[in-house]
Amino acid sequence: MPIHRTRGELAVDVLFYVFLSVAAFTTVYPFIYLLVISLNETQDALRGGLYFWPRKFTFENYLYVFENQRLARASLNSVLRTVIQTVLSVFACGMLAYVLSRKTFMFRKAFSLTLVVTMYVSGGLIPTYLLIKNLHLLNTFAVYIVPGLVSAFYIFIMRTFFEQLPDGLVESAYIDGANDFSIFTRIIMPISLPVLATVALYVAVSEWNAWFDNYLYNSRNENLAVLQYELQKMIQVVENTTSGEEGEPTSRVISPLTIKSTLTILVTVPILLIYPFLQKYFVKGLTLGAMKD
Amino acid sequence: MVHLAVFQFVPLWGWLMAFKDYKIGRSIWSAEWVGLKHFEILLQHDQFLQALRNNFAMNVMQLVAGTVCAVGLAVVLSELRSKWFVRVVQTMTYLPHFVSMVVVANIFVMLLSPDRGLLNDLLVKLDWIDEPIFFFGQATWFWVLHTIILTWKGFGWSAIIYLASIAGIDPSLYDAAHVDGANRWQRVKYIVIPCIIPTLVLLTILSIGNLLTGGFESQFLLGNVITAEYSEVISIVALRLGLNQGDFSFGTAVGIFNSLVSLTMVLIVNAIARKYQTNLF
Repeated sequence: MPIHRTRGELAVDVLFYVFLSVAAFTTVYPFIYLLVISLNETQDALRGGLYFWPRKFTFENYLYVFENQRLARASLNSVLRTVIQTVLSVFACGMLAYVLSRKTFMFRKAFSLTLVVTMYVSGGLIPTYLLIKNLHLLNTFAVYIVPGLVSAFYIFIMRTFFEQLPDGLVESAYIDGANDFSIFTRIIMPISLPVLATVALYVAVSEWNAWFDNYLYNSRNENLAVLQYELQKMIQVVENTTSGEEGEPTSRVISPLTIKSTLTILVTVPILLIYPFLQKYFVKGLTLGAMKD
Repeated sequence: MVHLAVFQFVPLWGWLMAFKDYKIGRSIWSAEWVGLKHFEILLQHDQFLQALRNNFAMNVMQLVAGTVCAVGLAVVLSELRSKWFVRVVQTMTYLPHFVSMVVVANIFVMLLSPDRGLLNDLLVKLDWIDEPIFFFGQATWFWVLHTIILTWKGFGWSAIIYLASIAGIDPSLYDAAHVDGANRWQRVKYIVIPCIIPTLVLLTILSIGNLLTGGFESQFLLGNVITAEYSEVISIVALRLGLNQGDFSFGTAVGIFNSLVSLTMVLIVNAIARKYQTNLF
């Protein structure tokens, strides 16, 4: 639009820039605040008044977290579950989506409809819990993987993408003697990287952030705890003992305040590291999902 | 083709299981069939009705606030010409979407804490208040706090979709408007807003299925004993009474109620959507 701006429009522009800067600042500042607290010396942080820079810079909070056996174990669990589930889930959803995208597949419509229903209808908490119990998945690592393996939403995103691929691709592979599985792994998957990356990101983020299945099914086995759950427990504990003890200079140099900030930062950083790189993909993926018909 | 069907069904199995949850829940429930007793209890249950109200209130508030903020952000972003600035703002505002609710809850509990929380710190320093306020200790504030927090978490992300639909507007509309001497405000009002209304309607419709029963994580994590009256939603009541106190049939009845309600809502909504010719299935 090669339109020159009037003074009024310029003022509005300035207003917009200010407004957006404020909005962006309020979204990011809380994270900065936590970062500052986590990098500050514990007793000093309790005095408050920390805003942008740590007053007494230290890594001791991070060292404490890394040396803590329970938290180390939880980090391992979180990483394992995220990696395993991302790989398996993308593969499983991809295969299903591929079948549903083939026009020659017999029960296409019926299956799609059943899938849609799962997006809105679920057993509810208790039946699900009982099912998990009857399957002997309570207090196992598998409970993180199996129930969430396939999801209708991801399947639809992938199906939309697969449907845009030319039919001739699959047909020529058939003529060359490839079976369906090798067509899927050797032809479909390599050319579908953008959509696979999108779904992988979705799965990875939701796995990394999950804590409720841990709370519900695995809370008795400390070895299976994930990071988010450890953090959740800490919040709950501190909330229930609001103020009071934490100012007391006990033998422990670490307070719930700093340890919570440190853990929060540690839980957030992996996501921070990945997501700017994948931004292009997921924006595309999101609009792709929105246009499903 | 048969090979394909058989092989591809193996993963479907895992999914079937998830779907069977509902069936299994049902059979357990009908095994000890006592008519609609549990549903009667349910509908007369004080805590349940209270939870229903909380669910509805919070979801509506969040839907409205979230949509307004997302559309606002998208419109303002689309009006700016500095591409790098837009990208930076977008990247920053997405951020909370990727962070878990646990982290978000933790952040706000800390920021709003009466005990050296940042907000209280500032308010006291500015002499706006004399004593720190325990924000999460005021039951009646919970809905508002909850709305603000969820909107904060999601508005940047939801804006993406509106931005995409604004980007899809035919540029000749702008040219025509310019020829007609429309100013910026008129352009937004008569071109941008009408053009994103289909997206807006579609997204709103999609979320209506969750209006009565959706939500759990945020309320569970942000709520506490003091705010229970305003923060407990249906799923929390089901968890507390159903699992923690062992009243399985009550909890299951809640689950069935939830599913029936959301299915009905979706069907109604789909019928409405057909009218707008944007049906979901």
